[in-house]
Amino acid sequence: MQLLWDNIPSKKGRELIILSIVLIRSLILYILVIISVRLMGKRQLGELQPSELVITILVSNIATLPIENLDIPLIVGMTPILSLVCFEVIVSWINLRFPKLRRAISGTPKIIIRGGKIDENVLKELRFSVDDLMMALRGSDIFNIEDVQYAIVETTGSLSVMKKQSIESPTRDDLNIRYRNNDPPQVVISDGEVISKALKPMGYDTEYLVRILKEQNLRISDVFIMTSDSCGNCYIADKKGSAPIIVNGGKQNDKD
Amino acid sequence: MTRIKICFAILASLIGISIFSGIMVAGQCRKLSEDISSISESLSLGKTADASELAEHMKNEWKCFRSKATLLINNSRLTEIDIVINRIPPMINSSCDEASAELAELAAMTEHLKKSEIPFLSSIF
Repeated sequence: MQLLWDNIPSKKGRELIILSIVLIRSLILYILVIISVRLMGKRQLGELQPSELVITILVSNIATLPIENLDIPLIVGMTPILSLVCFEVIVSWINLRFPKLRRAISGTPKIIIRGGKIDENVLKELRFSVDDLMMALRGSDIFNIEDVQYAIVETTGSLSVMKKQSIESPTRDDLNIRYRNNDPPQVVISDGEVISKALKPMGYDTEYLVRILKEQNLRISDVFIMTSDSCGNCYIADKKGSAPIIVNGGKQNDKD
Repeated sequence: MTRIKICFAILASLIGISIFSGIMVAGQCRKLSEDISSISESLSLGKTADASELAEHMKNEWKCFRSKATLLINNSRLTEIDIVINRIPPMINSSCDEASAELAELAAMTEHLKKSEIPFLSSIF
């Protein structure tokens, strides 16, 4: 790099080198942050625990330092990111094995409304105002505090609400209505490629797909997306953009 | 469990790199300090030719080390030492009085670099 620098006398040439270094560093750190997020696992993508929130903020700030300042070696930027992520994963694992430690790090959920009554002591402990509580309830589609039987503030700060039974919608079981299928449909063909992992649990194979598609004058390579469930119900959308085809499998499941 | 193993492997690698970096920098700083002592001794005995030769050798050694050290150490700290090391041979050749002062400054910078790479409590905090 020094040799390259010495052989480029022009200012513009050197500026180009600096830009290319910034570009390459950005790419490397981008890949590193993606790997770090993947290493932390799917928990990171949902609600964040306090330690996870801290790691997210730290990693995003640290990642920018070697990009902004070319004097900082890349390894000096990567080391804290990788260390923090590894510590987070290890602490999560230790939390699983030692519940007391989990309580110390993440805290415990607090019941803020019990049996329809607001617990003011818990509100004070959490530094939750009434406005905060009402805002959180509205976030759970509850506009009348009378409707709440139980409300719990989770360790992530979100509010979980159980409504009173009297205002809950009746279920199929309550009305004695039969239902056909519990399992959600799986994507079995995506952009012309068969997803074998999705077929196996349902007990299907590629020949089954070929047979279904043949009835619709289609081949696997013609299909943009095809979903299927264990009752044989299929949704087929082809690559030409024609109207999707719905195939009813006719199989029964569960209660039937 | 695989994730945990990967994490321990990454942490072990990072610790390994840190230890290697510390050893490498400490070793080079020790060599540099020895070279500085030799040059100072030659200068005090009036052996300008020897001092000049040693200074050139020290400069070349530093150049080799710098290209590797730039991967591990902040560039601005290496540049500070660069500037001082490059001044020393011409100063010795022209029998400049400030050569000794520059050597003393270089020795202090080298010591500072060595201490900052080793995890003493003072360098951590």
